[in-house]
Amino acid sequence: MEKIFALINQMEADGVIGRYAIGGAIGSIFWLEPFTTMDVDVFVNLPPSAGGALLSLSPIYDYLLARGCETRGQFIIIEGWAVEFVPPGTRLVEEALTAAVVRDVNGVPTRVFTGEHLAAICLQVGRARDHDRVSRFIEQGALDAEKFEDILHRHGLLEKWVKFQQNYPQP
Amino acid sequence: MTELMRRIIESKRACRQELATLPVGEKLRLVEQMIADTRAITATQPPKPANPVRIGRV
Repeated sequence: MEKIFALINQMEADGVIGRYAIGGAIGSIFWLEPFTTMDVDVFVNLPPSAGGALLSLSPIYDYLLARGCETRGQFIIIEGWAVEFVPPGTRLVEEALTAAVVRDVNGVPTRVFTGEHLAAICLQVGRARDHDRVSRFIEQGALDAEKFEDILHRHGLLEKWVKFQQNYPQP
Repeated sequence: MTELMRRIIESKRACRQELATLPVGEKLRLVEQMIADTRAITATQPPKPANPVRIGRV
């Protein structure tokens, strides 16, 4: 998988994408135990297209298709993995992208969301599997309480956090 | 919860914690292995029941 991360680093260096960070399930695996997932979510700031303010994923597709990658729905297949490039859709994800940290994957520096932001995003999205992931973060002791509660406070998620704690007792 | 269940849960938790401490590269290699194994199982295509359970509004 480090080949994917190396390619994404190259895309950033070439200016095809702005700042990127790995999120979703693969991002969570950086902080948790490995578990099965089929895709790689890459959150990206997109450079504005020439001559207009509209943001477009086309340069990403063009860049990767020219390097032999294929598309499958909204995904681009890189090294056998379904990779999706996602511009941040909420203030929380924008902040997660800004606060992302670099970790080494077999010699490839890879930017990834912090555990606190990943867990907060899970809480915000709120599906059953997202709640399950929050409980894994807690069980692993992977979250700094002060940082996590600060994020929840700033993004209006404290009520969801209270409800979560009522439904998911301490592991 | 029985004592046996408690021990099984605790054992799984300890296993998850041990796996979480592996280097990221090793964790991602395990994910790739799991996906390959999952695909092999999926390829067996188990028969579907004739009358599958559905979620209905009561």
